[in-house]
Amino acid sequence: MATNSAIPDVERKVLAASLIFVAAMLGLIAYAAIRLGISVPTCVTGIKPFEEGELIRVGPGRYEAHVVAKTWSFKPNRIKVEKGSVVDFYVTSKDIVHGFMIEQTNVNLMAIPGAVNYAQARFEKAGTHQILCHEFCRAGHENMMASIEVTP
Amino acid sequence: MSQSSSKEAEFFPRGAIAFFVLMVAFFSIVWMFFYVLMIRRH
Repeated sequence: MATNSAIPDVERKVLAASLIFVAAMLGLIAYAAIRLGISVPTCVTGIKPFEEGELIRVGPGRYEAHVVAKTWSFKPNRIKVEKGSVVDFYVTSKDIVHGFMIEQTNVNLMAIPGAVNYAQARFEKAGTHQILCHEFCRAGHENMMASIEVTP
Repeated sequence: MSQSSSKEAEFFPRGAIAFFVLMVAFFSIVWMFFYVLMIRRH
């Protein structure tokens, strides 16, 4: 040791070896990503139909609602179905964990990034059902809502 | 006093170096296992 402030030779070699290993690993990851086209797993919301929320009519009185939650809204924001319809809800989130609760129904789901949750509801009465986020998702959570309009 | 300073100068952290080398070797094997698995499954 020359002085107290100087890095000992052994530590210098250990540091160099560590950096070489980190560089080698990053290089291998870059090789896999760039040359072999292997990328990190993506969230399911990057895949259609979960990229954009939409209501799909699959038959008379049958719907599939692909709902995407994000701070602080649901997409689709306004769902319109006729009385007596059965709706399959597939709910996911684009960012953080949200809640998905439809008042006056048993639908009570979590909207989780990377996962799709499912529930089915039958709408027998005409009227409007509020959809609420019931999982606190930071300031603005209280305004996160949508609605389902059931037409006669 | 002079004896202790000469001992300090001769000190070489063999245990620490051995631990470091074994640790890096072990985690390299684990890391390479998953890396090769990823490449094979591609």
